[in-house]
Amino acid sequence: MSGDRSSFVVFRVGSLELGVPAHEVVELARLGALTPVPLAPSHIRGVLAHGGRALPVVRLDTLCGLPASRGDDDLRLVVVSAGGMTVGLEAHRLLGVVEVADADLRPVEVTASPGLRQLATGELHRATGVVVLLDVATLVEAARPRDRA
Amino acid sequence: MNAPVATTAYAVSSVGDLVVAIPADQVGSIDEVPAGASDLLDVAALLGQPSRAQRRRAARLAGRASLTLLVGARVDLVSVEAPEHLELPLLLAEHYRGLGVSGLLALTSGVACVLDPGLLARARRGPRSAGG
Repeated sequence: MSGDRSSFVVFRVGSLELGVPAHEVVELARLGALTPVPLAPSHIRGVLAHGGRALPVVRLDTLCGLPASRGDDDLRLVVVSAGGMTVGLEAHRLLGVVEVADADLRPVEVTASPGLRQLATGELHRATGVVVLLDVATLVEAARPRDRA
Repeated sequence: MNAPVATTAYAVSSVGDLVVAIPADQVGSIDEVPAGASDLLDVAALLGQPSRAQRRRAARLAGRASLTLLVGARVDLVSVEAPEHLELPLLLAEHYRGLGVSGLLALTSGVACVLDPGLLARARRGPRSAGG
């Protein structure tokens, strides 16, 4: 990020176009074989051994209370980190890195899903549609399983 | 000459869709489940897994006479090298510990849950110990 411009990694989950700040993205990877996490909420897809660590993989549609969307078998991972926690976000398609002037960032206006609105910091309106920009720290905290005690 | 690779031995068993591992030095014995046995901690139930195996094994923990784990039908002794030991991811650490899991192993079959006797004893008393 420099001055009045910001960069976002933009990806697709189902019909949603989502973006996360590029400086909070650790890496982009192909989704490997997942191991389920026992008794985890449905938005936790599983864990995979990746780069010498166990990486939890999160489904954003389910986390936002939206119906689970089907992707093809070639799923991607957007690995993000916030608050010392690193998670992989399941992406159906990577759309690239977008650099925009901060003046072009819009508040959350057209995003309808309440669950998605809670994670959103703004929107980017493009000719191809609206990219919902996500707050990684809020997203990671929302993904944390709650103690069911 | 190659430097020796540090390894740790685990008793590894499949329960449902998961693989669990118990440090071998904490396992007293692996036995057939005795007829009429009670007071076993069913690891499959604890982890929310279906108990598919008909003939399962009982892992009696060393020094913990009161804690015997009901695991899968087969238990293998597996040597795991240091780089294959994975820390619990921070996002899920509390969740895993609540289920008696203290770490993970990167095995060729996937990621295995390392069972910790102390955490298991606590989990058994907690709300997650289904039927226990």
